[in-house]
Amino acid sequence: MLKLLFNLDKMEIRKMIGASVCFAVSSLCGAAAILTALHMIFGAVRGTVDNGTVKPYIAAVGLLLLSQAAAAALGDWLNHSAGFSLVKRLRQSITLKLQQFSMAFYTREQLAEVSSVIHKDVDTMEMVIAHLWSRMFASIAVSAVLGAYLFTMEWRLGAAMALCIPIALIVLASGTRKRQKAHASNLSDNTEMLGLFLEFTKGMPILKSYKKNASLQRRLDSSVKKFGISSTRLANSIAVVSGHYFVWLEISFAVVVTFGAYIVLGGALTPEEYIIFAILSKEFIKPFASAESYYVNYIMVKSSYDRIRRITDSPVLTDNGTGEFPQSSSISFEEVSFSYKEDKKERFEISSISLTVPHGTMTALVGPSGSGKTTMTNLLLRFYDPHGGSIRIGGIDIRDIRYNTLLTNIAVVMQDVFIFSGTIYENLLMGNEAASREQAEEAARQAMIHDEIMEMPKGYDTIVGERGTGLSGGQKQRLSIARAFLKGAEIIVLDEATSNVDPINEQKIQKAISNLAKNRTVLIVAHHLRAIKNVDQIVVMEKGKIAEVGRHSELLDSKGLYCTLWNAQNKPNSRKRNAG
Amino acid sequence: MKNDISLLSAKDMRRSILAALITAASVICGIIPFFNLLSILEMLASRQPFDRIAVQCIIIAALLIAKSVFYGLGIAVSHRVAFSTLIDIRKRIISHMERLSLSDIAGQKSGSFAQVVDNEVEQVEVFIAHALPELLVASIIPVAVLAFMYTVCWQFALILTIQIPVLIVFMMLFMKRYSSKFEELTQRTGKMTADLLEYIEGIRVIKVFNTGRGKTNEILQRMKDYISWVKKVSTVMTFSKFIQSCIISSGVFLTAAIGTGFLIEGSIEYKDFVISIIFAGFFGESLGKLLTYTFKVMKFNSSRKAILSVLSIPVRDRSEKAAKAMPGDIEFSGVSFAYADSAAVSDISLTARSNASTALVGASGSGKTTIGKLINGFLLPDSGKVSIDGVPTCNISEASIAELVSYVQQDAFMFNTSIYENILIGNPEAKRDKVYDAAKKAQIHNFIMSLPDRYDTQAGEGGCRLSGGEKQRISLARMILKNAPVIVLDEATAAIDAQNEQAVHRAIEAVSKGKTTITITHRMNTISDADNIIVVENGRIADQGGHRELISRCDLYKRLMDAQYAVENWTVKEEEVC
Repeated sequence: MLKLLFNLDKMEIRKMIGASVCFAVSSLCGAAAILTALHMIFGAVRGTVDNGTVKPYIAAVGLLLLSQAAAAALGDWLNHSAGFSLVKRLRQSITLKLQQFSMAFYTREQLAEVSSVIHKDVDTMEMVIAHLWSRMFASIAVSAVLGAYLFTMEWRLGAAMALCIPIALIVLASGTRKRQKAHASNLSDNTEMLGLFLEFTKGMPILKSYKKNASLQRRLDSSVKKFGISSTRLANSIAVVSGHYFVWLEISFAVVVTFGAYIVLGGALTPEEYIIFAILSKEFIKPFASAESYYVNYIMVKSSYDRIRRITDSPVLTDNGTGEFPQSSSISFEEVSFSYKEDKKERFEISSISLTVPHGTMTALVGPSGSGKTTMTNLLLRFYDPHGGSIRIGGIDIRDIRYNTLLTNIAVVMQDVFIFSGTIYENLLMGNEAASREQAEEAARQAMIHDEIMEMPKGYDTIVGERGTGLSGGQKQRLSIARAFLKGAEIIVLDEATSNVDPINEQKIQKAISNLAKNRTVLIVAHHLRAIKNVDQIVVMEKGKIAEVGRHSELLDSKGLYCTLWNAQNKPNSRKRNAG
Repeated sequence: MKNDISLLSAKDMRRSILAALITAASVICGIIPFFNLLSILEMLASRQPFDRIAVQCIIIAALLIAKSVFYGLGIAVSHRVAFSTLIDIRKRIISHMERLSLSDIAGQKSGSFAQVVDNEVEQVEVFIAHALPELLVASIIPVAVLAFMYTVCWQFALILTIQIPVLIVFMMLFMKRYSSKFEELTQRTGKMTADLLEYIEGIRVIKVFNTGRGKTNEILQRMKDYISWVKKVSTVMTFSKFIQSCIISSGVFLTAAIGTGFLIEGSIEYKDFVISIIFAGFFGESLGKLLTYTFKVMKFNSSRKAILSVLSIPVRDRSEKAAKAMPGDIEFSGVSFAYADSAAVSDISLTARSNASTALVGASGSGKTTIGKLINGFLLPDSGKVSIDGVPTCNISEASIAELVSYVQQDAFMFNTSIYENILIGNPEAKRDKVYDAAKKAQIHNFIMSLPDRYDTQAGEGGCRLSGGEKQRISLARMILKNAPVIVLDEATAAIDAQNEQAVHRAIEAVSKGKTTITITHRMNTISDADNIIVVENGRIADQGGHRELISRCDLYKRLMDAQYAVENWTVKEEEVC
């Protein structure tokens, strides 16, 4: 708990303490108001308070009630203030941290996790730490003050009142452990059931298109049944534990009433004190009644905190290079080995690969899927660092170049294109914030998208909506290529995969890519061999090793793996006649 | 119609009433001991013997134990209601979806069913299990207190009763004055969330283009602005809460002040007065709790509405006219269809001949997919007629169309079960060797056999362990297994990798022999043998005919073919012109 509190800065701690004090004062004012009112009533009964002397009492009750409300409001305000500041700081630190990871961190699942953490978990931290905990501290403090007061009033009765509390807490602690188990199994049953329900919902068109599938239905039914059983068990265990716990707290009131009456008869306590004791003992018990929710909140905030820490503690890319980007952009892989699973080094994804891409030339990586082509480009971009060997650009190890400098000098044409909401021009500027309008238009021309932009209602100032709605897939691709033009990087990394667009669009994308690749140092992951037959160097990969290297004609002549792949893709009888 | 549907099943409704009764019993058992306490006080004042007082003490203890027992029972019942409602609503949504026609399902925003099944139902469960018991206690106490007060002293009762309209009027005035602020708050919070989401989703691009600082500073600045604005708003809300507490406290205060006057006059019994003050305190506490629950109730209501809106999508009754679908020509005459915002296809007339191959080509977004969905009844035409063997699709039962047509979509949906089960969906009665055979034809058998668990390999949620091309091949295996006389392929091979592409196409050619096939594709080189090629442009048919006719007369077709040729023969590095 203390570790969690250390997340607050000084200002927030002060505000939270202030809020706790306010809430405590508020509760005590409430209790004092009840006390004063009771005194006034007893006075009236005894005749010591009459129409003349009642006014100060009434004024005091009014003032105490007003203070109660005012202190609570002030506490709320301080809470909010501390909470917002905490939210701001947590989100800020996550956002800043997000900048420091290697590209490998940003998988789709990881980003979804980050989104959920930055919203839900940060909110939970705020809710629990800033709001619930200050109230908890306050009610514990109030309970302590009232307890002390009651003990000094009549210690025997105080002791009797406190007698049942340890029993209640033991009951709660032992019951909670059992309940936690029921809860965990219920939760996993629920998750499984929900998964199946969602699958049914999303797969409904498929299910309706085929014959009724009894096995899927049975799977759902049995999952529902399982959830039904475990949820009944959970409901019972919650009820038994809470009921059992509260019985002991309630009995403590009965004990106070009974033993108190006995003491009054003994003459050590007046009836007035007796009733005050009884009423205040209820206030004393209150934080114990909430003990369970305090525990639940703690568990909740702890798991949120762990999720936040998982992000902020994730290893960042070691970025201690200071080198400038070299003049020559030739790329060389020297004895590079890498495995995705660090602990299983025996099965390398790629092993001992050596390869040079001379400055200003094009090299294509080809091979069956899983041969390690994409791993090569991932390593060049430092998604991961190799476990053996090194990658150099212009003779300098890429780990000795500042990561940002490295990324600035490599343009990647990615499959997933992201368009920010804003104007087209702003989206182009992602490539280079300092680019002029003319430069942006020239880049768009090179990327074969200028004409289409000019046809849009406001040209370059057309706002492309949330996530680039209004642009076709092909247009987004070309916009992203235009960004790469603006970036003006010397090294281009391409993934030549089929994008599902119509041929007219695809032709434009291809033209844009050819323009981009011209006279630069290019590394292409290729799928359609025909597309790369003119490149300067073709590297054929198989199972993480280089099988063959050469030009298209050389490789065909050598009748190796490349030749086999080429023939599979270019069976003469299956190629349709074309318009040409 | 809408009123006929209730959120809770009849059984759960009865159970929640039971929960309310049990909770009420628990509340009453908690209130009565105060009367006993006052009796004890009187006995103490008149110094009666302890054994007479002890009787009262035992009654108190018994009532308090009963209170706890009832409380526990109430929790047990309300949790059961919550869990069974969770199941019940989800089941009802699924079975309602089963009754709905596909066109009604397709008409909903994508993901809205899933959103309801997941989050909204969960909200209802949380509310019933956790908020409802507390809410019941907080609403039963004020009622019980008021009932008691009217029997003791009408003035006290009046003071407490008046608080309620005063609070309501205050809330209304406050909401009126600040509702624009609240709307702004919702908007700004939504904007902030969207901005952050966009930033996170776009982080790869931001990073790759190294324009991070600009974007990052921008988002941090916006976050700062948002927080400082929210802080200001929260001051207003805190003030409103202060006024609310003052109104609520005034109940106890006025009861005490007026009551003391009565007591001095002697017009009220001291015992009644003390208990009135205590109860006035409970009353105020419960009112305060009720106010904090308004937000939860609002949230529950919006979830309730979302669920009911799904459950009340009317079911189109096709059953009475349900004709059986017979294989035959598929004919569109003057068909138009529009999605909520824009027309997808208009005035389409075409015929896909039985046992012949038809291809639909055209630019992205020209309406090809809409035509495909109109064929198998995923969509129903807004005007015009789609008929199979002369019978309009809107008169054929959906199950019957489903039997007749295999529709293979680009996004092949995978269930999170074994690959074997996923293929078996094509025909649940198929024997094992038929499944293998279909997989072989779809060029996926060797891949499956290379997996550690072979056909028992789990596909993962939404098929996440498979690539797009692998999913498409499994989906084709389903189609092959189903062996329906009509096949609609909507970009069904778009994601298949270059290495398998040609083999898959040969397999499709083989299985579609003697069947009615409709192919929707961008890959112009795969359709030139089709018996009829339909060129779609902007939701209309530009031309149709055989390859030879079209190439000589349809400009768009020729452009698409030329582009396809260029695409096929493109090289990244253009050949040096000498």
